Amino acid sequence: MTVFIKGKDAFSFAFKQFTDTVYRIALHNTSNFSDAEDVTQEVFIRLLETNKAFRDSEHIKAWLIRVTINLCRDKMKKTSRETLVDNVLPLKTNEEKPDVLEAVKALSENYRNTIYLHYYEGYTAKEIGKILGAKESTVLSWLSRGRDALRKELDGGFDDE
Amino acid sequence: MNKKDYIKAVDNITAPQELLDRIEALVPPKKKKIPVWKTVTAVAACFVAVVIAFSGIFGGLSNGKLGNITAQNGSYGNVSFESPDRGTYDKLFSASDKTVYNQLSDTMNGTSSSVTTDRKIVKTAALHIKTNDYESFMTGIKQKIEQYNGYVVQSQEYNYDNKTDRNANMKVKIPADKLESFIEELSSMGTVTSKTIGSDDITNSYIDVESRIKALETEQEALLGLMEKAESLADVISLQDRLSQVRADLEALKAQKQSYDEMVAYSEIDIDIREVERVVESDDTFFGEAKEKLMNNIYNLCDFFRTLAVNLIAALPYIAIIGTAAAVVIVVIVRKVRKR
Repeated sequence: MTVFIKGKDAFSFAFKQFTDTVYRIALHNTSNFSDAEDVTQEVFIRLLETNKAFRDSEHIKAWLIRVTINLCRDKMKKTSRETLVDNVLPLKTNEEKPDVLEAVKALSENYRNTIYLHYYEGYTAKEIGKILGAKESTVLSWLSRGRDALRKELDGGFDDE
Repeated sequence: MNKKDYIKAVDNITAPQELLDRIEALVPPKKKKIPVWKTVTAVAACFVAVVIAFSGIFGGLSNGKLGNITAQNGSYGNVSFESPDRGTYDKLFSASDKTVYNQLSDTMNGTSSSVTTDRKIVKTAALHIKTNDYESFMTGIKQKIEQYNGYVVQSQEYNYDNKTDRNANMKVKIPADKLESFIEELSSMGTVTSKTIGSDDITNSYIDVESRIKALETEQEALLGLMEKAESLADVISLQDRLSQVRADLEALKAQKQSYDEMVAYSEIDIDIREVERVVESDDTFFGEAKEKLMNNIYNLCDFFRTLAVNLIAALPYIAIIGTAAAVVIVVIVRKVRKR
């Protein structure tokens, strides 16, 4: 029998396990720290408000990732409308070579999220497809195009070696 | 090499403590423990409330059911007698009319004994039935409904042109006194997976409607009597005003009573019919379970062979072509070998 987890239990579990994941995705998809923090907080508010019952930790994680990306999209739309030019902080500036993180962030939404989910979280293309609502083949092409774009930006490319 | 740098860089991103604090604060802290004396007081208060409620109920019952009716009609009586028309009534009443007036108020106060007192129960039921012979089940159910003088309110069939996995949903009305036997007969026709029978006591609302009708009818008669004696046009107009209002109320109440009667006389049954390839009776004992699993596997095996046979037959044209080609090739090879 599957045991479902929901409400405050899901919240405290997610808070212990996935706060960094949510924050990292938020940072990938927003332009500054304060937006990323707002989104992270909002994601957890949504988790508290939802009536959804989760099957397991992977289910929660996938849900959190999806919600985070969606909220970031909303946030960026709003920000671009308000044209806020406050604390836009580059994540880490390394003078000698272009920063990998900055380069990934500069990619378009689907590319950067696919890169993050595959290379950092270790999801397969099929799993990413499920999370982002796309076909496996589409995800694979995002991944390779994202890699190509990074190769152009960074010397040394973006390979396993 | 950049991939490793990327992972390292992401590793370095961690949610700041201040953010963690903010999120943690989203969940309200656990409730404080309620002191013992508060619990004791609450329990005592509940007990007292229950005792008062019970004594109230039994006290009420000793006054009889008609007592309740009086209470319900009291409000109605007030409305009609303290209406602006009261002046007209008083002016028009002569001594001989007093009897009519008294009759009227008697009815209003519910002392009239002709009000229904047997319980009015609305029964409803819901059934989920599985069958492996959908068509005969459906004809059977339709026959049963006719036999029981019932009727179908709503019926939906899904997948009806397929020969498997059909299901139907029916809302049926059956005379209330035959509900149980109808359900029993249906149960014997298929396998019931769930059965819910409920009832709702509408006696109070029914009596309320019935006695209001009675009161309004008496008032109508009285008004008609007064109308004949009315002298001034103003009186006639005000009486007519009241009369039309009484008539409208009467119509509405009668309609409501009719719908109550209908609800009481006919029980509504929701039937969910599902077609299955075979019905499995579940048995929880060791051998029962083993037998069930064994039967399942035998069934699956048979099904496999059946599918295989069907596919083989379906593939015959291809097999014929490939077979002919293979035969030709073999014959040619054999001849060549023989020549050597």
